[in-house]
Amino acid sequence: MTESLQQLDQQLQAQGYIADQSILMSIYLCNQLERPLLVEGPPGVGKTEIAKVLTQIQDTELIRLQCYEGLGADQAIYEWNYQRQLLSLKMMESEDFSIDQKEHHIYNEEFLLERPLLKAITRDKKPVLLIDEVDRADEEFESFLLEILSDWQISIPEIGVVEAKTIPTVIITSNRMRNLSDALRRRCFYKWIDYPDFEKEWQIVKKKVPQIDPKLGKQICLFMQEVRQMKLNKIPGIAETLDWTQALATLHIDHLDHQLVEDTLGIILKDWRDVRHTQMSLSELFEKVGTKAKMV
Amino acid sequence: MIERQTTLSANMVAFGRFLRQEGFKVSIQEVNDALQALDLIQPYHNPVEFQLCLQSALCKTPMEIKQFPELYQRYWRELDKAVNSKIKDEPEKKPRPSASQKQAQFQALKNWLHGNKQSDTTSTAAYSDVEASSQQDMAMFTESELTEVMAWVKKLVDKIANRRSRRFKSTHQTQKVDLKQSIRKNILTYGEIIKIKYKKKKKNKLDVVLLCDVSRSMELYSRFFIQFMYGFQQQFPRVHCYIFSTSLAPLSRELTQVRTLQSMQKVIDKVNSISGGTRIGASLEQFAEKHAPQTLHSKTLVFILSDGWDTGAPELLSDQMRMIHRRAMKVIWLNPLAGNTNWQPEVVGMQTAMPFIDLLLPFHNVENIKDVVDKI
Repeated sequence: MTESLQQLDQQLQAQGYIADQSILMSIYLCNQLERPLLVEGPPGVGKTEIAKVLTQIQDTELIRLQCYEGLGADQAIYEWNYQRQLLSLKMMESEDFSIDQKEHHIYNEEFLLERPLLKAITRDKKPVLLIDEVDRADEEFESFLLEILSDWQISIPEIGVVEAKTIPTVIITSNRMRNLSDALRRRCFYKWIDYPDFEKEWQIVKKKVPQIDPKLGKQICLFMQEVRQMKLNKIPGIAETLDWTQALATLHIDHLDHQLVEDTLGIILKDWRDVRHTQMSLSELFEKVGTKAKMV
Repeated sequence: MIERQTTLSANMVAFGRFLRQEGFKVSIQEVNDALQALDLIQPYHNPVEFQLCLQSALCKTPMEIKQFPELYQRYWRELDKAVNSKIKDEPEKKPRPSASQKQAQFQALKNWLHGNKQSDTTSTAAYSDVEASSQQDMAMFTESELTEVMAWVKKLVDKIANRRSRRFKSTHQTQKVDLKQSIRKNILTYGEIIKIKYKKKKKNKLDVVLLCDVSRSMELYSRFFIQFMYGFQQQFPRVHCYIFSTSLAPLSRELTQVRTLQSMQKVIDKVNSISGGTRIGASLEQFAEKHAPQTLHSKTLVFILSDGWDTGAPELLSDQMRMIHRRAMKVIWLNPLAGNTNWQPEVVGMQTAMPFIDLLLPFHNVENIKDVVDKI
C-alpha cells in the first residue's frame, strides 16, 4: 500500500473506523482532489460515520445538512432575515437616507441567515460538510447542490456571488430510496459500501466494544452474517451488531444461547415479521453458526 | 478494435472510450479525474491499487462498480491481443440447433416415413390479431406495425404524464393568485400589495413500472409485448421495464439502447433467454428485493402483463401483490386472455392476485392500448 494511504488508514483506525482498501482510496482521492464523495449503501453500514471520523482527524467543524422531503433553498443555503430588515428600515425612517442607500443597507451580510451550505463555504478553517440522506430530498433540491459542488460558490441575487474561502470536505450519503441524477453523480466520487464480511465486522466490534469476550464477539458476528443471509424486510447493519454486542457485554454474558437470542432479538430486528421469521428458524441458525465457529 | 497507445493519458482516453461503449457514463471529466488520481497515488507497481484507483474515479453507480472488474480485465486482455499476435481468440462456437427445432425436424421426417401428410397447425385458445409468432419472425418488426403501437403508446403516455396534482406550484404566468406568497413577498412594502404572485396546479410526475411475463404460455403475445415495452421506453423515460418467467430481469437498459429495428435482437435474445415456466410470486419477490425501493412509491403506476398462470406458491404471490398494492399508486393487470367473453379469472394465480388489482383489462393487440387509455 502506498505510504499516504497507509497513513490515512492509521488515522482512521485511531478514530475507530475500519476501512477496506477501496474506501480508503475513495476518501483519500476526494480529500486530495477536493471533490465531494457520494456514499451509497444499505442503512447502518457506517456511511455517516465517515464524515464524523474525518471531522475528528482534521480537527475541524462538522456542518450537517439533514435532508428531508420538501427541503428547499431557504433551509439549505441562505435566507434573508426579514424581521430584522423590517425593523432596521423602521429605525432608519427618521434619518435622511436615499432609497438606494436603504436598499444597500438591508441587503447586507449581517441580515443574511447562513444555512449549512453557505456556512460550509464561508469558514476560515476547512470544515467537513455532511449532506445526509440526500435521496430523501426532492429531485429539485439536487440542482441547488450543483453550483456549490462544482464551482464552490453560491449566487445570491441581491449581493452577488459568494465564493468559497476554503473548500470543505463534502460527504454525501444516500440510501438509494430513489436514483440520484447523473448531474450530481458526475460531480462526485462514488463509493458503494455494503454489509461487511465476518473479518471486517469482528474487527469493528473489537474496536468499538473492547471489553467483549472474544468468543462471544465472534459468535455474534457469525450470527449476524447468517441473519443477513435470510430473507428479511429490514436487514440489520453494523449499528445493530454494535448495539447488540454492547447490550450483551453489559449483561456480562459469555455465550449465545437459544433463550437469550430470543429475548434480545428486538435489538437487531426492527420488524415484527422479521422477528417471527427468525424465531422460527433459530435452531437452524445456531447450527450454522456452530459449524462455522469451529472453523474460525 | 483497440489500438495500442504509448502514453498513459492516451491509454486512459482509450479506456474511457471502451467503457463508454459498454454503457458507462464516462465523460472527459472522469478520465481527467482518473489521470489526476493516478498521478496522486502513483500505483504503478501495484496492479490491485491501480485498478482500485481507476474504479474510484470512473464508477458512479453500484451497477458500474459491479461490472468494472470484468471490463477492466477484458480491456487489458484485448490490448494484449492487439500488441501480441500470438494470443488468439477461441473460434466462436456455432449455436447448436435448439431441442425444439430438432424435434420438429424429427417429427417431419417421421411423418414422411410413415407416408402421413403434415398435419395442420394445432389450434390454440389464444386471442390475437397478430399472428402467432415464432422466435425467428419476431426479429422482423415491420415499421408500420411499430408506428401504430407507438401512436397509441404516445396517447397513453400523454395521459399519464400530464396528470394534474392537487397541489400548487408558483408560476410567472398570470394564473390563480397565490395569496400566501403575495402577502409574504409584500412584507417589505408594509403589506401594500404591489407584486402579485401566481400559482398553478402542479403536474403529477408519475413513475411507471412494467412487469412483463415472457413465459412459454405467453409466447404468442411476446411480439406485441416487446413492441409495447419498446414504445413505452422510447417515449417515457420514467418507465422501468422488467421481464419475468421463473426469475426476473430488468429490460430498460436494453430497450433504451435500441437505435434501429435491427438492434432489437439484443432485446429479443434476452427475452428468449429468460423464457420458461412461470413463477410470478418468486419473480415479484425478486423485484421487491432489488428494484422496488427505487421504483415503488405513492406515485407509481404498476402494469403487470401476464395471463396469471402461476406454478409457484399462491401465498408468496399474495404476499408480494399485497406489498406492491400497498406501496404503489395503482396496480393494473393486463391479461391477454381476458379478451374472450367467456373468460373468468379462474386460474389460481389470477384469483390470488385479484384482491390486489385496481384494474384488470384485456390486452392482446393494439386496439387494447386504446381501452387502457380510456380506463386508466
